[in-house]
Amino acid sequence: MGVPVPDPPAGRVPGGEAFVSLRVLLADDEPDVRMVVRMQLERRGWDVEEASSGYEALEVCRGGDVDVAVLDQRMGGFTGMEVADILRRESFESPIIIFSAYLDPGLEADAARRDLTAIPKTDISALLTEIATHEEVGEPPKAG
Amino acid sequence: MKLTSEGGDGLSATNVPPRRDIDHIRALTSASARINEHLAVDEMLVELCRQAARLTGASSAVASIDADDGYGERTARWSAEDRAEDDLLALEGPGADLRPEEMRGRGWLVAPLLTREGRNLGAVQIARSPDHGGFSHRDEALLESLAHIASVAIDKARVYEMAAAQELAQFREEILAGISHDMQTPLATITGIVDMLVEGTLDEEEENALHRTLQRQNRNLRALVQQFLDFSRLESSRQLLLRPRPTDVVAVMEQAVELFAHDRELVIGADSDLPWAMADPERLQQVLVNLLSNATKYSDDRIRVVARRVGGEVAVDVIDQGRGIDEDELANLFRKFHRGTNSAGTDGTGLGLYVSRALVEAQGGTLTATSTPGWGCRFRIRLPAASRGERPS
Repeated sequence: MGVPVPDPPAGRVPGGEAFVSLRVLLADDEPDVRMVVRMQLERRGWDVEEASSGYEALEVCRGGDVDVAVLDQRMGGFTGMEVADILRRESFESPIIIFSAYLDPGLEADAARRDLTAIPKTDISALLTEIATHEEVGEPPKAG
Repeated sequence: MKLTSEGGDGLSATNVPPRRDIDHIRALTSASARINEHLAVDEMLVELCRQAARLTGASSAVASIDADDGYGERTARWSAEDRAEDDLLALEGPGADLRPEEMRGRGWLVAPLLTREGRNLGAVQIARSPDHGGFSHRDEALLESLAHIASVAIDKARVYEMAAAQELAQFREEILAGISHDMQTPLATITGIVDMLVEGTLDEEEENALHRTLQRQNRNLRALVQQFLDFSRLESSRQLLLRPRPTDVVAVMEQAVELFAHDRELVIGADSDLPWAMADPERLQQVLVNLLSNATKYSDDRIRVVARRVGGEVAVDVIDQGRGIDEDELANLFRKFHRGTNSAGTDGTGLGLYVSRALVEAQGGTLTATSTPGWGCRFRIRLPAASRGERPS
């Protein structure tokens, strides 16, 4: 495509390179969970932005540049599902993952209905795999 | 209700019901009252058998319900032979029926039990032993009327029981979800840390941070398990396992506070002449951790833990500067499964304060809460001071 590449948004690697790092929002009210998950995400080369409540998660996502939002279900302020609903109403299009300590069938059905992925907190490797599937989003468009 | 009288004893010319009809109505009224004294379906079925036999002189009776709506089968039996054991009536398993030997008699009557909508719910059967005569039309009418009366009562109780069971199941589900959630958080953290330690590509600083977190979450998990064990002991009215001994309360406070220091500014204070307390240090720590965990959940500011001498007791206060708790809520705070009105979205089972108070009381102390809404709360543990002789040198 002959369109000139615009200035990249802050925090992004300029377009046209082979790989663009994902920016992941990690919202959880438990600081130890955030620390452990953050370390795992950063080891895969992703940038992590933390939020400790539903409100903070909304603020970070509204600030833009979130490629994947990982939301704890039970947080102070809003639940993960409520944050997801608000974000979708505000046309936030990045993938949202509900990362919950307790996944009951009701919660899984709620997530599926909203087209969200639900992953239990005890399975961090599943979270990493899921986030990795969105890495291609950051790839530059192929010339056609 | 249609009542029939037997033989030629119909209404007389004077329009006064014959004696037999009056007896008939009296018998039914009394039977109805007895059945309606009960609240549970099982008891009603037992009473129905007893009344059916009493009214008709039957030697055995079986009442059973088996509606196809999820309530399940229930059967009650009464037999003259069991009468020796103080009218003992047994509830029997599904599919129970009159026994073959009971059917050998000269009479057998059955009347349906119906729901209000006329759906079949089950039946009541009566039989007479061979050495007695058969049943009369009067008996038949009585049984039919009695079955009608019992149907109304049983159907109502059944609907009520089904609703209560559903509510209980939902309540259990919520509690289990809470317990499971609370345990999953430390488990998730521990699993994540162990994975990284096994991978082994961490620098020293990272490794140290992970070790500290591992220790903290491991303690959290142990405290949760302990809380559920205590709760289960309380539920079955067994004594909590405690070993009160002279205890340096400040040392216990320091250990508890350390668990939260990574997340929050915590300040410890103590009177200089603070005596030791008679307490189980592990259990006191469990209570303090619970109070601190609540304080960090419901307030964002500094938390103070202060120990004072109050009369012959040691008082330990946990003071936060959060939203506070209003008066109505304070009254319910220590109730089992109670969760604060501000608790939406946060973790918890509603067991912490309930178990904490029981633990403090089992150590001969008290646990109370005061609050000025908008200014925070103060939880106060009071424990007996260890006497001079008990204090280790």
